[in-house]
Amino acid sequence: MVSSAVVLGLTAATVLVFTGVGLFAARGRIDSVETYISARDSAGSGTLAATVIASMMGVWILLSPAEAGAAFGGLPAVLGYAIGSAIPLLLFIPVGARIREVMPAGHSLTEFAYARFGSGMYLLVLLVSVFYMFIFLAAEMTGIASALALVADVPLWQTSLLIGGFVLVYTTYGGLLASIVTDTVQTLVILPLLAVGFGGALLSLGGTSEFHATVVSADPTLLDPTFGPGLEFGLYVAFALLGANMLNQGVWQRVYAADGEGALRRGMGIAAVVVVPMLLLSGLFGIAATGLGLTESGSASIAFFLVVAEAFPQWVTLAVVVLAVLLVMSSADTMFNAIASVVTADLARLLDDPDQRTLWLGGRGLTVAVALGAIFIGAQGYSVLQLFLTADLLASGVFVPFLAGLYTERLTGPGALVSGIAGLVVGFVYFPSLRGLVAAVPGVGSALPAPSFLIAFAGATLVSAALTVAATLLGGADADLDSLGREVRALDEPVADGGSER
Amino acid sequence: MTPPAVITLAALGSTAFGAVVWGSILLVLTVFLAVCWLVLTE
Repeated sequence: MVSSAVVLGLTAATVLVFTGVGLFAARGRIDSVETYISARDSAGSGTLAATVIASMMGVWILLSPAEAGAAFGGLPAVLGYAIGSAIPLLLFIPVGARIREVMPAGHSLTEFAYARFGSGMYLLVLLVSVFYMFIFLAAEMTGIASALALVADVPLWQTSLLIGGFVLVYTTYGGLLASIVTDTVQTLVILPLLAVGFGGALLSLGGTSEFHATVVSADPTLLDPTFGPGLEFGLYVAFALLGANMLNQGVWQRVYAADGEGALRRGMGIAAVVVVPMLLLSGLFGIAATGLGLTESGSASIAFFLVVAEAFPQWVTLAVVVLAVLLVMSSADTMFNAIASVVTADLARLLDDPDQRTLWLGGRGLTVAVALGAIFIGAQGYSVLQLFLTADLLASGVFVPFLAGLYTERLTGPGALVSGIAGLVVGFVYFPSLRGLVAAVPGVGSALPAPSFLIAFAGATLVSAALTVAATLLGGADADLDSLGREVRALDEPVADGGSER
Repeated sequence: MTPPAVITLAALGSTAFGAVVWGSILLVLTVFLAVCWLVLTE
């Protein structure tokens, strides 16, 4: 095992360097709450691609796809993860352009939900998106803390506090701008480190022919693209990723950060192209772990690290530590700022014409609160998989009616709310993870159908979509999409009636 | 044809597997170079 002092020292050096980059990038440039939570029209296609890749690809890419490959159906499960991660990015090309067109001075998805649908749908979207983002954050802190505990026996709280604390420093100071700049540099380190690391690991395992022969002799279904259980997993994880990412405020912030529609299209397109091979390679480590007989003791969730330990000398483990720390930092800063921005943008509306100081305190105070919560949870070593799946399910039921509001004026707030809640009811009825809770409702237990993740996720999405179509057809012209652009304005913009600047 | 035979036939062949793996690594490196170029020329 690598020395914990060496791993902690390396982790500290990594977070210090990137904290310095974040502080330097934001120095003297954050002059209002608007620039703290929005980096409007500032990112070209390369920067946008880099920040989207870094934001979405957390340390989970070293854990979940490998676990899918090892325990949930081999190659088709991994392919589902990979393709399912790319689809939302491709969808954000037209949807992002529409968001910018309908609400050009907007900041957050909840701002849109309130302006378009009213308070009912706003509360549902707020609950679902903040819950998802906080679980994402907590899972990242838990993942890195568990990984460093595995490779070097580092106490959970030390990892969580060190990484969370330093990310908090530059995110609190530099907001979204610091996040985007550090993301860009981090992506330019992460991509070659991943490619060279995976290539080296494969060669250490004897090359692709040897790897293939080992896996096929252990279990040929691992590399069978048509293996049923793997296909089922791949399909439901694609539904889960779609809903969750469409309600990810971090991506919405980057839609606004794009320097025009061309940058949005190229940036999202490049990110979509690269996440597929990244997750495929990571997933192959899980398949390798199973093929090598390393996951027999129920350790599929750390399959990636098991193979690294098997195939690589200790110094390479340190490179993996740097990679994992960068992956966590780049996602954590995004989530810190994303959660804070949702609430800050809402504060501007909820408080009666607040001044800049109040919004500053709100934005930075919330960043600190979110970070402390995530650091605390990361230090506990909880299993967050069930919470993650629950958050994904909630998003699957809500995102279709929510996004439909961008395109039709006929969908009313109550129509969207009922569509979303109906989708959630179907999802919960079939959701295996909450079976006990749902069955405890009097009179429901005996009537529940057989649980299925696929039916839960697909059902939540498709039922909410069908009801959205019905509500749109039945609804009258209730909304005025043209007025949204006038209602939602920049936080440092003078009010339209000539009132004081806030 | 027995089920195991079907499974074996459906499994990805060694050459195709190698192409997928090395192709993925090359694609990641290509995107890295593309992003570098785009960022530097912004």
